[in-house]
Amino acid sequence: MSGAVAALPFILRNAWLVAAIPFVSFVFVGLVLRPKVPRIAGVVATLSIFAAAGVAGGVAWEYYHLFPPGALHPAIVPFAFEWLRFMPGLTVTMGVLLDPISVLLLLVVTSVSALVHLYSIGYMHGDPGFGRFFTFLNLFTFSMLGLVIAPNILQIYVFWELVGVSSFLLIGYYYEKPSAVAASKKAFIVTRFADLGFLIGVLILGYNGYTAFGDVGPTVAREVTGRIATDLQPFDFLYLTHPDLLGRLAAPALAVGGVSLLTIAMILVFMGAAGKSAMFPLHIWLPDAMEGPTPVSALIHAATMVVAGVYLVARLFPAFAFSGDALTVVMCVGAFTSLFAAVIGCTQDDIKRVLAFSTLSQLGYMMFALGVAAMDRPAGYTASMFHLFTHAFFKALLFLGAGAVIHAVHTNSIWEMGALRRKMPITHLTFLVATLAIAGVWPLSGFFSKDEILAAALRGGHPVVFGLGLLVAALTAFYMFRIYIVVFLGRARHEHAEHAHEAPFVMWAPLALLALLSAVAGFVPFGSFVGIGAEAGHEGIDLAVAIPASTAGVLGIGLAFLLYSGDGARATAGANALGGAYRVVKRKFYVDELYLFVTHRIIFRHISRPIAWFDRHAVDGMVNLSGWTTRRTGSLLGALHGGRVQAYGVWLVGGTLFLLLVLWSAAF
Amino acid sequence: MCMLPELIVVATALTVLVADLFLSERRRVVLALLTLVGLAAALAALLAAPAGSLFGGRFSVDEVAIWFKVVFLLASFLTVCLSLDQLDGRVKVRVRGIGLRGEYYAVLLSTLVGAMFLVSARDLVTLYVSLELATIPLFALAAWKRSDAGSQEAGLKYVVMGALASAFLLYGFSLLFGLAGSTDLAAIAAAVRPSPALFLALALVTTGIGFKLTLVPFHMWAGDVYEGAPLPVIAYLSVASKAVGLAVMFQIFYRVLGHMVKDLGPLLAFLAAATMTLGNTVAIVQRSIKRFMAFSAISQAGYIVMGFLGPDAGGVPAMLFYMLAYVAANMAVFGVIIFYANATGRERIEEYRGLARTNPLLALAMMLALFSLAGIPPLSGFVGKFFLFSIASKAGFHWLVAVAAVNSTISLYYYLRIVRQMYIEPVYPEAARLPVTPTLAATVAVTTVASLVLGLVPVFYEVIHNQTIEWLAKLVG
Repeated sequence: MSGAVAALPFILRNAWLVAAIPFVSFVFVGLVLRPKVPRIAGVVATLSIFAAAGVAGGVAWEYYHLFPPGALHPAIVPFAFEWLRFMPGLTVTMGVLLDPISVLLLLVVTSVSALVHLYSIGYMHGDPGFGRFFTFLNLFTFSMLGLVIAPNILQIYVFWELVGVSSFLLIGYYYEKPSAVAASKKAFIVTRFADLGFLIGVLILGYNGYTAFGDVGPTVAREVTGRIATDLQPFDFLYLTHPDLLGRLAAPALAVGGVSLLTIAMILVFMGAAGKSAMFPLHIWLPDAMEGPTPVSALIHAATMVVAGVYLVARLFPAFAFSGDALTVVMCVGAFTSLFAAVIGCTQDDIKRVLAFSTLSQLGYMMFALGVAAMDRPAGYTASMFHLFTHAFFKALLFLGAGAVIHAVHTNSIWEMGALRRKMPITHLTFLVATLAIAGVWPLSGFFSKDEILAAALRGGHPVVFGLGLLVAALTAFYMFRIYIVVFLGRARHEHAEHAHEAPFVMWAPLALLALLSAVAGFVPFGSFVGIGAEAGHEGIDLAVAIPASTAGVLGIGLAFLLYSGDGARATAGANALGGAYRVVKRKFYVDELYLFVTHRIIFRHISRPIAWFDRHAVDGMVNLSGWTTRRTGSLLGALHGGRVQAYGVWLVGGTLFLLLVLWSAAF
Repeated sequence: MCMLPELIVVATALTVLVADLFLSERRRVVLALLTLVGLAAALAALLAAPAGSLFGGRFSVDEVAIWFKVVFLLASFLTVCLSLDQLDGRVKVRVRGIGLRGEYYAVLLSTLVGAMFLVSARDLVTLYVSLELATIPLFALAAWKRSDAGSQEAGLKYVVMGALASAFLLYGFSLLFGLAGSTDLAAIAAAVRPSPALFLALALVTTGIGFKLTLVPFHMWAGDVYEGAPLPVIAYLSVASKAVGLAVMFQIFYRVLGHMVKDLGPLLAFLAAATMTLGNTVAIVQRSIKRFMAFSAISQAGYIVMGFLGPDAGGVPAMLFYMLAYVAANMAVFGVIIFYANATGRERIEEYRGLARTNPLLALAMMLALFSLAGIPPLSGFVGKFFLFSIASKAGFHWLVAVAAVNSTISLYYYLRIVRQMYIEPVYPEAARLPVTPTLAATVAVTTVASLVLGLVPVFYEVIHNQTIEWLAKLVG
């Protein structure tokens, strides 16, 4: 530990506590409370996350105390310990990296997680798996925090998989439901498949980083340890994102088929990010993941885990920017996903699925915001993180609100709800705040962050992306108001909706808090807190962007009212008029069917089955043959020991003669 | 006084024999205790006494001799612990015809004395006489179940084959004496040169050693003798008697032929490969656990001989360590076998089914010990095998390492057969927890823990290594 680290405030040196508290709680709740007294598991788990949130708040306070807003915000590594030592110079550490985005994510993850924990005490009340639920929720929070604070790419990979496992466990929480089991497997397999790319990317980066470490390492280390960090290792982000190393990786000598190795590595890493953040065409798992309990959807599949992909791209942003081509891929994938998911979102009937497609669309927004940024034009980077920040609050709120509604009416279909405005006033009000926020209505938070993204796209010289962003903004406003109108306004469409009741206090208190955050989060002078490079992010409202964006939003809202207020006959007529196109969108462009076709009809039938046959017959046959041969040899040799001493004597004498002959012939 | 341990053992043997005369049958229970005290005292004396020599160098104690004597004393101590329940009749199922406790212990101690003198012998005659002293009492022990035909057959076959091997060995010794004109081992070492007569002597001596150590094809007696002899005697045979063979091999191959042992590498490698392969393949098809242990022990001898390969002095500590690890694991296995035989009379492999349900701790001990024999990390058998394999690999016998690795896999298969019976196969109907005597429980516990600790804690190997790594260099000079 260098002297500079020792001089840091106590809370920064012990920032690992943020992740350690949920871990201890996970072990305690899982091993002690769950089997013994599951009733208090919820309270203990929730308190631990509130404690972690307190520590995160302290960390953020001290970090910005050390590096005041507006100034440069360097990355520091206040804590690290050696985890694996392969050889001198090739060591993997576990530790804490603090920079603006990790501090931001610490705050977001702990605060949303704490509120979701609190809400779950009410939502999961009386569920037979109550203790198990909170165990997994704690495990997830620990894993996510470990991911956020990772100072090197191996630690992030380890926790990346851990959040994947927690997500798998929680999607399949109702494991007696076949659809939940299928969804959890789907989520795990799709993200795991994407992580294959990530792993290869890590290996390429790690190997080349290690081989260049001897040359580039010392200069980087001098520069980096001038900031506050423990000893530099080849897998550290501070090293992997350093221009000296990136220059090495992008060198033409390492290029493969005209594409630089850096671009290949970054696209592979992005594949992992795209899997976790459910970018097209790896998005198929996220809508199905809604089989999990609604608080899980709010925490994992809206506010935190799914932004891990965005976070990873931001974490490695200098490398993506250095490559250029990789960043263009990020932008295109993000922009396309954003539009694609928004279009599907307009046609879904399940309230959680609409929100899931909305999440996909907003993640696409964050991705393309990163894609339009550059090291000398970092506005998109700041805007993306800003949107991540505001989105976490209003999307978690939307999901929790939807959860409260589902809790009350026992159905997911929006066509069996209606007129809940009077029955559930608090839920209604908070849901409205979140809907307005995501639709981008001033002065709620979504307006500001969406504006920043669109402004960054326009100034970054990407007018097409800007236009696309406007279209998505209009669509977002449309589909969100569509569900708002159908669920809360009009008349009750089902008897369940008539007997609905307001959620209990533990459930509506988090809603109210999140509504407050969704409303005011936009006023945070975000650019002076989070940025990359020297220039501070864009500040203030740009009317050239705000006017078209707001217009798009209002148009979308207006269209939703036009179609869905009253009995919704106009909407049905519209859908019928679109005919085939509407069905294609409603069936989510048949992407799932395409996957099934490719996997079942082509891969399973033509590749897997022959391999299985070969394994069953040829490989197993060889194994069985070797076993059979061994046994047979054993029986034959065993028969020699028949019990006749004369035969034993012959063998003994024969052995002696054999030895003599061998010795003799060897000597001559 | 470097002969004190041997003298204590002799005195104990005589005391036991005399005490046996004056004690009533009921009081003869103390004989086992007396024997154990004597053995413990001898072990203490061995560890306390410095290395040294007597009778003008004819009796000499060096580091390797001390470690061999430790192995002999520990093996005998454990054998007595395993025997005393059967001899005292504290069993559910009586062993037919076993008895004569005083003589049993005295005979066991006399074979031990032979083994101990043998490692310290520096003269062909002493060597031969001690070897006979170490072997002949075992013939009697193998036939100890007087009214049991199988035991008698075992003893008789052992005598016939033993006599044959002994004759060959003696013929080889006489040729060595003829070549060198001296019975002093060092003098012979200085005098012998490669010649047809030496090759004949070597072939004959190797036959004698191969008989003790059960090297293929001199191993044939083992299956039949193990099958008939009393269980504790088999335990001793499989461990101490093999160590005696190894000690003679040290005396001849290192002390007499030390400067040409590396030229014998290919022959020894072939013997090792043949021994381990035959032992393992035949062990697979055995049904009786005694016969099974016979072939398991044969294969273990094949692994040990790998230590003689190559110019590397590391073979000496590797073999000694493996011997120690083997004592611990094999005695633990025999502890459980004897416990099960005492409690139920069952001695077939498939009759071990469900033992994990009735006596989980003993089954666990058995499993760990079997895994140690198979060489599964982190047990001591793995560490020992690792050193032996690396000796062979350093000497360039990569094919032998491959053969040994395949053999380890085969051995895992048949050791797992027993584990499967204990853990997976259904338990006998109405099977209840079987009672275990405190001595057996303690013996099994101590040996199992030793199997683990020897593998986990490197200090034991380091001590052996540091004490004996120079030994070969001093000898060959």
